Amino acid sequence: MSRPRIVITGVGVVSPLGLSVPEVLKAYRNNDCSATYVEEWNDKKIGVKTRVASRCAAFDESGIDRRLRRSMSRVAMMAKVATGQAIEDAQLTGLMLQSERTGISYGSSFGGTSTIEDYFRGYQNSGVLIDGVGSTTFLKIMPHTCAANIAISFGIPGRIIASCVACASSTQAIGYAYEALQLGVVDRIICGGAEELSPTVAAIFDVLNATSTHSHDKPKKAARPFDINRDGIVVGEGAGTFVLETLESATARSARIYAEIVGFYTNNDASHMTNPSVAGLVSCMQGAIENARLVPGDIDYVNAHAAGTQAGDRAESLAIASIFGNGPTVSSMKGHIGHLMGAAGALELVACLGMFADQAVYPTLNLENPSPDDGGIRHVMGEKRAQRVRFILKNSFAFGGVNASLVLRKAEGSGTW
Amino acid sequence: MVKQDLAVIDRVNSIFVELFELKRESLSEDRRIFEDLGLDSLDAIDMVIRFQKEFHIKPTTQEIQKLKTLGDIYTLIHHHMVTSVASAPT
Repeated sequence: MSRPRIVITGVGVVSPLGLSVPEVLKAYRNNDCSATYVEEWNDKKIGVKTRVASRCAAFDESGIDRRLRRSMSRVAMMAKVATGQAIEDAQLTGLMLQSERTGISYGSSFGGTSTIEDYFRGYQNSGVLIDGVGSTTFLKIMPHTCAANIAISFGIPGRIIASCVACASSTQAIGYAYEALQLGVVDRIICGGAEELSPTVAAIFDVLNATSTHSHDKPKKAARPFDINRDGIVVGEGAGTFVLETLESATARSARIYAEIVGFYTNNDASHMTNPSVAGLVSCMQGAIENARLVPGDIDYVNAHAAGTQAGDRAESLAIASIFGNGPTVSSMKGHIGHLMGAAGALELVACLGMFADQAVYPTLNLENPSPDDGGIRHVMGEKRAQRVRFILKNSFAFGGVNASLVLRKAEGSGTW
Repeated sequence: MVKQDLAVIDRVNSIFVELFELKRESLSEDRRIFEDLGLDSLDAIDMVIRFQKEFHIKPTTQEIQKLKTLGDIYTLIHHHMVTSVASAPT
């Protein structure tokens, strides 16, 4: 049975590397790193061990109308701004937005973590359990806060899919968007993910000894995925939004096409909450390749999840090696941008679009000495490397044993960034 | 003219400026809180929560539902504060 072809026709970002897609791609291409030392986390009342993070310091939410902003934590504000860019980029009309055939598939790990902290501050100050609760507290915290706020901000009445699977949230949201289009239940869909940074988020990894704690004097070197001296995760924040539609729809309205999504698969390890299973990762990547009706040899490059943890990097390396051997090139963007958790897959997918345009792959920044337990995968190190980039496999993995992989194809004539 | 307190008026207006990002010069006792100042039901809940914390008062639901203008709010808060002082143990 033939399936509709699904393409990306709009992109928007709020990220630590920049507040527009050209800025972010310029940063990836220049091997810039967005990690900085976080002075506030020296406060003993914060309590986290890490002092390095990747923050959207230049993000300004003041342009968002108060009526919209009051139900948004920072995560939804970033999602709203990124989505505005994507809608404008895709040149979606008011009629398209107002149609129930336009959907939203958007993820984040939690919703508004800073609002959770506000809630506890209210309790701490008064001793009354619900003293920090206001009319919009839940609306800011709820797992579907980004999707719901996007819907209201842009008047989109179609279906909402809200993925909430920690660090795989945005990749899964994009995958579910792809599937909704293939099912024919929407004509176009806005998808992606966002995350806001707060000590509460950092603490989740910190307590598991998974954050970077030995690079406080050199934050730009803190995130070193795949390196023998990797030092853990540099937590971050941001939002990335894409507009997806069928190739037929995009062609009919002469929309610019950035890439085609040709495969998606998601599964879970069903074995351990935090220790990834090589078998689960293998099955996920193979599932995406099969869904794309490709074979492993078709994949030119793997955009890895690799966040710079010993267990995660190793399991992903072994899984890639098990499928491909010494096959496609592999790199992780987290040396550049840190780990944006619910937004990670989306901002890394933006890098993939740049690679299609450049016909080159970007390196794992700060990878100098690959860990010997990496199964012999083909790392990209140093500078970007020119090569054919026709098919990309994009991975995102998450606590809870959730795995998600996308397969992307270079669009004909794509790439003018 | 129902008695109002200038200090209360100033504190209520400050809350409106802070919570609802309104300009202080737009606030006067005849302004209707929904139609003129643009508040809605969610804003009204946050407004009452803030009044309870700021002035240590507990207006009834019926009292809150009768509020139409800023002047009504000034009067209600003044009334509760006076009543609270009058009924306080000596």
